[in-house]
Amino acid sequence: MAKVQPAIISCGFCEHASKRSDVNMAELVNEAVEDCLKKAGSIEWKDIDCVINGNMPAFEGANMPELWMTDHMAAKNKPLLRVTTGGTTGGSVCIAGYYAVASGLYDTVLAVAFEQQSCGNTTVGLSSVALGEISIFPALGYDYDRLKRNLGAGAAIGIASYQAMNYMRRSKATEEDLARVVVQNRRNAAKNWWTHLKMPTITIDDVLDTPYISYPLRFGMVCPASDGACAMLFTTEEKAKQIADIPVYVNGVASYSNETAIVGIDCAGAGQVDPCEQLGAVKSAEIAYGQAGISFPNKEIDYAEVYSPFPNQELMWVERVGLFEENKAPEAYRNGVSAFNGELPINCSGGVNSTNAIGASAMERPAEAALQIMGKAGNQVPKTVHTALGHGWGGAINFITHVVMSDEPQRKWR
Amino acid sequence: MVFQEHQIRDKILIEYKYTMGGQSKFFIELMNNKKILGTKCRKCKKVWLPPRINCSECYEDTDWIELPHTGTIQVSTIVWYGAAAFIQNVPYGCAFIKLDKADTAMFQGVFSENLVPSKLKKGQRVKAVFKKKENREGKMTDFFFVPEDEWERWINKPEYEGGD
Repeated sequence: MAKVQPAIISCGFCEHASKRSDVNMAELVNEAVEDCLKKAGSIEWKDIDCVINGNMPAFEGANMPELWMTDHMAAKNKPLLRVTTGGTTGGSVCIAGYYAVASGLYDTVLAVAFEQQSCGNTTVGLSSVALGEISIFPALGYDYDRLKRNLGAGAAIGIASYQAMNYMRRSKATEEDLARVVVQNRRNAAKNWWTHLKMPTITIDDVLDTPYISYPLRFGMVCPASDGACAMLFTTEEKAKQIADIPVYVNGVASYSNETAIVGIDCAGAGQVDPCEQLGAVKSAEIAYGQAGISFPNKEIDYAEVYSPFPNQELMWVERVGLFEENKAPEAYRNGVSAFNGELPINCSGGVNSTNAIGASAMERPAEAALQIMGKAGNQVPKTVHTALGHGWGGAINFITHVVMSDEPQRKWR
Repeated sequence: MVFQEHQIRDKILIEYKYTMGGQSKFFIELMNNKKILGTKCRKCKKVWLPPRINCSECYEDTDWIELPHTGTIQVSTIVWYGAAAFIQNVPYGCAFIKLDKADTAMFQGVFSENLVPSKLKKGQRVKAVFKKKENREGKMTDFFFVPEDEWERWINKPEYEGGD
């Protein structure tokens, strides 16, 4: 239990695009930090007590970028912690921001996550960071080229296509169901100012008209590679009440990981043979809900942002984190439950499927969920949001982060 | 049974293109016009070199200003062993140099015909020498510094030229 009740008072973004060549890495981060502080009322640069920073250095090839951008995120002469956990970097940075306040050590903490993918080659970078989870292949005598072919693009889609196949077998979801998720995301993204792929008129047929990358995933279903940054400001309950109109209290955080089994071959992980089973997500969600005092997530959560670079993952995650019954998500999406004006809106920011600055993506999920509670989101849902979930995922064995937040502090339930 | 070692050789090639963003103007002006640009804070008037589009003291915007090509060494060393790209240049000097009118120091190479520590000591006046236009690529290696008294001789060499 937290010593101090942490609250989110502001979230900032920079404009995301495939190439932000008008800014360098430090300036990109600066944009998000400025946007965050601009919306934070009386908080100024000097009021920040501690800064948390993170991205995936393998993508841009700049190691220790936090030293480069120290001055660009108000970190000079302040404690600065760097957190990097692959795809969930953003989620882990957000959780680190929570810990810094919850521990009682710092009052106001700025958490910043970013990625400028146009500087490097993401797929190659991903292969080297993903080596942990595919280490079984070199051990079996596969060289890198062979590995690339076996895992699709040598990167995330290789993992996602196996997940998609298993998910479709379990839930009887069709390719049309996957395309429907994409259409919902990209249309939502068109209404949100900072997103990358804005497609206000896209249809299911448009998506199904694109070629396959790795069956059953088509070009039109795959997330883009974006340049972007996200910043969040955490503070104590007392301060948040003075500063923000609607402070968003963080009531539960969890970060669990899973054992790998990309293709379910012998010795590639001991227990797990089904890539869409995702016990790590189930466990992680349970812990976060437990901390927040949520017993029935499907009834108590009003809004959710899940980390879904690929559409099958969105359907999979909303089931695994307890928002929908198992194998029922495709039907719910068909009926518009998850839509902008539905009962349980999902990914109204456009999601990772529309914008993926990898290091920042897992932070943009809780950030957007917090903005929905504050009523300040770029694509604000019509219903009132009291409790929301921000989820993060990063590769087959990476951490799965959950941040559960609400407009009421935690002790109400305790 | 005798253990036999076996390895699979592999090679990963990654290409990077570092975006200079708001600092781009520094490199473009350096490459095209042999100018060294810094930025000046609108509020506290601090002059930054290397340039920053935001002042790191008061977080205000900055304006571009041209700086003179002369400055003083703050601290230096002489390099006797370097990476592959620089090994043919050893020995060479490296120094933090504060240009006149600038408030911060910039790290840059210092060459000298007679490279001894006394030539690079703190307070030594230095002046910028540029590569010829066709060899300038918009990188920090497009220019270097030499002690002020050697400057005339350096810019008369066929591969180098002085600034305006």
